[in-house]
Amino acid sequence: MRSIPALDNRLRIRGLEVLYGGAAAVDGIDIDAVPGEIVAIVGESGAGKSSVGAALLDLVDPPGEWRASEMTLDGVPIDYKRTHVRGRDISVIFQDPQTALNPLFTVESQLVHMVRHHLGLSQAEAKRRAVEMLDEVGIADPETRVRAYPHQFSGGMRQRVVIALALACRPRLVIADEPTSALDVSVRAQILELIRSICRDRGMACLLITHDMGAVAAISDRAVVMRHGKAVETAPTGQLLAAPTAPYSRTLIAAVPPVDRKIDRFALPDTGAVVSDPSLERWLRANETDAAAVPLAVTGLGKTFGARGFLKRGTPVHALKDVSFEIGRGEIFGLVGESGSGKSTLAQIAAGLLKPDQGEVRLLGKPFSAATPDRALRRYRDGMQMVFQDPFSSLNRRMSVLDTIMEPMHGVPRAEALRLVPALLERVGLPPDVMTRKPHAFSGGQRQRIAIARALAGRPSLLICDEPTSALDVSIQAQILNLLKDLRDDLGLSMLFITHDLPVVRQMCDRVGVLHRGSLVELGATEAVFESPRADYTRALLSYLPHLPELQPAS
Amino acid sequence: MSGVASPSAPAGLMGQFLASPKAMISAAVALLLILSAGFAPLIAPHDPFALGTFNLMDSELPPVWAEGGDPRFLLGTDTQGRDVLSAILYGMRVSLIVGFAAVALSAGIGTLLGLLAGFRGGWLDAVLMRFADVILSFPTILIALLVSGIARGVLPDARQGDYAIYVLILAIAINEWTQYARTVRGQTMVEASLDYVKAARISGLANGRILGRHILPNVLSPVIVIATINLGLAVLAEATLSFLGVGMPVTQPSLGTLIRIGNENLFSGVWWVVVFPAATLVMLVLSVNLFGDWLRDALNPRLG
Amino acid sequence: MKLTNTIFSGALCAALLTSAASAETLRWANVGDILTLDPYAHTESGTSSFLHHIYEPLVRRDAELKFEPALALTWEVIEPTRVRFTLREGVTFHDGAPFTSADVVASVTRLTHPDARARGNLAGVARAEAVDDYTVDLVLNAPDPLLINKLTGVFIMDEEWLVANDATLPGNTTTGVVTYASDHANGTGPFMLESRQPDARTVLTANPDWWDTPIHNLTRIEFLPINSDATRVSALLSGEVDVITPSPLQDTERLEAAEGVTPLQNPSLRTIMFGLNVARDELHGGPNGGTNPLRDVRVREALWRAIDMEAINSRVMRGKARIAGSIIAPPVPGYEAETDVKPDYDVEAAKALLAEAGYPDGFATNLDCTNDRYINDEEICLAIASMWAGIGVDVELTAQTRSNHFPKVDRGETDIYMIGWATLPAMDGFSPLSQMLATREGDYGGNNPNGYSNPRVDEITVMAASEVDNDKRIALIEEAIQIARDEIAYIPLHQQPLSWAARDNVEIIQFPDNYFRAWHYRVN
Repeated sequence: MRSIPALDNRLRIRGLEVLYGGAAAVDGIDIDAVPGEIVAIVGESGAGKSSVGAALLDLVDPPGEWRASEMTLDGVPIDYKRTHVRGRDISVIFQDPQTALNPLFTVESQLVHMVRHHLGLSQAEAKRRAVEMLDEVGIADPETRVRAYPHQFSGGMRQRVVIALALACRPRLVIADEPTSALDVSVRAQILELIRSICRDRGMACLLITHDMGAVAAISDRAVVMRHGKAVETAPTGQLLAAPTAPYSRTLIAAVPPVDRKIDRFALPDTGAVVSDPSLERWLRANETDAAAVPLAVTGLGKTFGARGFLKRGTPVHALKDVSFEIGRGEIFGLVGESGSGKSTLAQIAAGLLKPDQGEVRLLGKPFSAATPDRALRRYRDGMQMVFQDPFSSLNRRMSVLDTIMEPMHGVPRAEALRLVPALLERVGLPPDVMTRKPHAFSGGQRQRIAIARALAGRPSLLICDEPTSALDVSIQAQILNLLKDLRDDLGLSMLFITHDLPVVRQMCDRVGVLHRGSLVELGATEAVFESPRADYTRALLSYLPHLPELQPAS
Repeated sequence: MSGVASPSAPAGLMGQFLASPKAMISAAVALLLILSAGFAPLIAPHDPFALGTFNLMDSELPPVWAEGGDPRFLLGTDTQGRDVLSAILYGMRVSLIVGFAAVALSAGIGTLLGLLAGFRGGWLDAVLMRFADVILSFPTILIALLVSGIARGVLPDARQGDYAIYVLILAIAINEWTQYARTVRGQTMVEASLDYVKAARISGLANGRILGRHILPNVLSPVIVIATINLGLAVLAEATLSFLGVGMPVTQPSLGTLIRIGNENLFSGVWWVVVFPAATLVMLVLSVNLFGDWLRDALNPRLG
Repeated sequence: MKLTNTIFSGALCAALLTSAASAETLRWANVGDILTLDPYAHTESGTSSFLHHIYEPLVRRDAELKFEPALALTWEVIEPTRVRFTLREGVTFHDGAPFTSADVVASVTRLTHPDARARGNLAGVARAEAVDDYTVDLVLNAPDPLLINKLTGVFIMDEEWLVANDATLPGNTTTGVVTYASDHANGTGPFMLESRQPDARTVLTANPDWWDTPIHNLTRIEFLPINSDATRVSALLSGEVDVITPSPLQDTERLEAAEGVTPLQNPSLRTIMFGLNVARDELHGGPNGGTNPLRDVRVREALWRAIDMEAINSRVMRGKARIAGSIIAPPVPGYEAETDVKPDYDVEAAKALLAEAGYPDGFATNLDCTNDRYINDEEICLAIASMWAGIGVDVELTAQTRSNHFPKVDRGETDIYMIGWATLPAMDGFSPLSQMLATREGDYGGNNPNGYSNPRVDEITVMAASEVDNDKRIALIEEAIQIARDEIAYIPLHQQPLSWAARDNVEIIQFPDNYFRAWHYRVN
């Protein structure tokens, strides 16, 4: 076993440019990282942060090309023609553990291959090292687990294996490219913590490429904010979060939902100004339903998958167990849960897309239970609309915006619809002339606005929002959340707001319910739940949130 | 995580078409052949289907450029004295009518059944797909022979020539619908799981309208591609059946019949009766296939 | 692994090649398959030619087509209506059973059964009576001058085998009746049935216990139906088969030029003609104003005049056919040159005749032909259909395999149909007279589904059946043939040529009756 020379793993990058066919994805940035330090490269999509990672690994595919005036590790220029630079000197932690590991090989063989290839260890030595690595990344019982296949690990565990793979050869620089985006919030914190401790202990430099401000806040020492390929601001993390100087950084920080307090609106510059048309308002309000009717009342809801059916065997999954709550008029009710909590199932049932097994949902007084016949469902759904998570699949890519928005408008003559649709578009902050275009011309945020316009066109009293901003960049998210709040205020909409993101809940919701494995473990006013949670699970969830220094609203 | 619009929408289909020599040439050739077949009665110098218009004494004349050729018959004549060029045009017409009709029928049936199977799932899906499996396990020619045989038994003997074409179309279509059904079913299942279908439901659309308005337009791309490729296959299937003698009657020869007749006489030196129809068949099927190839690639990015 | 594969496939190839190249195997490719293995279920000479290798008659034809004793040694007319046959002793069937008079009786009973398709071959025979084990009498309805002619086509079957396999009743390819004998065989002939795969391959092996001394040196005959002319020729050229029947006329030059093969052509007895349905009031092909145009002799003449047989002979038959005006060929007793005259090809005259008959705009009819029985049958019909279209006759042509065509003809479902008649096995004018011209009744008119009926012809048929004076008999037949010609009972086209081709290492004789007699052949 070769001894690792004690090098000073200082990374210096100057003037890095990455070009794809003449267009610059990265337009001359400088990065420094010292051993043990975690530098975050922050930006929204299109900022060029992934290209930085690609350039560092010399994985820029032709016709793309990159160049830098300086790219040195400890003063020595990084020579990519040497075979062991990638993997041994510089390694990567990828975003998706599912695809980062080869499903056909055991963990052991992947680790062993890596180690033998780069370090020339014998088979026996390599195997020992593999077990050591698994132990270091916190996998219990590493001697047996080492022989398992990737699919036999849970998501979080798998990411630990990926980290083990990345660190197996004791690299001098680790690039972590969105390492926690695919993970649950409870696991996220642990993985971040693991990365931090390993980097500190081994004196490795680490570049954390992410869009997640929470991750930046949690473990990075310094941050580089990128926008359109340029570094807009470089500062120690605490300073950046507390007092950003560049205008873009300020907007970015302002768009992050704070963890520790409630704010009413995000303080954003006025992009996508919303225009209000009185006749539209009248039309939207014309669907006033019975004022006494409770928008949504859920009683004893239960749903089980996989139990019955004569061809189905296997253990039944209780997606929902005896869930009950109510949403009042004009109220935004938040439903929080991780994956597997049952929140999507609940959304589907509330929307009348899935029948419950037990219990009942009453939408504006109309009941929906296991006994409801299918043909009654259309009447049930009257007065309700939904905004979905994925902006790309929630719009029919072959239909124009006009047709999409017109779809819920029943009984509205075309001439009137042609008047209403542009007004709706303006209401959600889009120029009316986009009506004729098809969805592929729009960004994710714009598509969500279209989806909201479509929902409004149905003149709902209740709006179900199923993770409406999870797929969006943080600044866009802020805009959409502001918009939703405005709509609630102007139109008296009630909302069932489903999300896994606690800070968003705090900002948006009046009351909140916490779902854990199908049961509602906590229910109450948002502030009360955040300040003094009663359920253990809620407490645990809250503990995963990064503890930041006070964030002052940028002004 | 996207805050930026996707890169400029793929250049329209027409733009891609004009940029691809493969597409333009194959489309041009196919179009030329199809049009000349369609207008055969107008442009063919003779009518090979009209008994009594050709003369046995004109039989086996070589093409006009060879020794013994006759300017009345540019590509020579067959063993009955029929003009080979006219026979090719009329024969191609028959082949193409059968081809287009068979494709339209099978695409229509297959798409409809695929939509139903993919959308409803459950027992309907299982039954339809097993049925398709059964059909698929029979060789095309066998099914075609079966249908031909049944038709001959069921329909009165007189005027067999009139219904032969329908029998052919039906026989070929029965075979081909399964491809469309399977593809459409798969696509339908994908599309039906997307959120916009849920949104349409919530907006109050009935299942039928969802199928027709939302799902069908989104599953048509592969159908179009398959149809283009299948046109060539249908033409070949018809040629094979006529070659075997169970397709078009001898008085209305299709390309396949011509090839069969020519084949019988190939060794005696009368090469033009088989070479020209065969070459035409090859060109037709090849150009249609190439176009279908290009179309599949061109439509692909849009599927995403 | 690869080496083993190579060795294995090499060995396999060698084995196949050796078996294919066995010097005593004769591989015979015919245009179509035999209809059945039951000699009484059909009347097709192609099938008879094949079955003659398995079964034998009491009297057979020799290499000059003259009569020769086979299963019978001698015969004697002991009464005008009783002929006594002395049978050959020591003959066994392929299953070992001895041949005795009981077998002759059983065979005659079976063949004269009203359901036997081939009963016309033994018309006039009432029954057979066994005198002792090796003597049998045939009892006739009337004195029959053609009894021996007929007997050359009557194959003797094994009584015990028929009884044991429940096949004492005959099959019939027209009505579709099949028996055990339809796909199994047990005869006395020079070859035994080894295997039968319809439409694929039928294999015979030499009978080591045959009573006769073999001239042939064959151990095995493989019979392969290959419908496509081009494929058959290719198979011959490539050496896959040794003999092809028939050989396409259009390839004669090529075969002459090719190495290792030789075409064989000789005139044949088979006259190809069209039968005309006068029985129905309306044709299947169309109502034609509620009439059957074929009933008018002017229409029939018009049709005949519209056929340019010179063109067909030169273009389709490559000049090898003999244009016919009479329904029998020159070598057949009953033929007269004066009768053998075709009306001149004259399109205008034809049209005039049609107009005169009341069809100035022509009429509609079906035309049914085979596509695998006669030489260039489909081509001929297509050409003629076109010629008839030229005089205004709207023809719907169907060309199909003979196993569909002939039953269709027999059931009277055709208007105009193609048929060929070689007068075999009798090789006498009485054959077409009694089978094709006589009214369909009782023993006669078995091949006359058209409804053609002439009282004088019927009268002559009965007389000729028992006229023992040959000159008188011939005169009677000539008269009947003349009547048929005047009335255009059938439209004769031509006598088709015999056209075979064989590999040079096969010693083969081509008989004018187009019969294959492999017991005369040798493979070197």
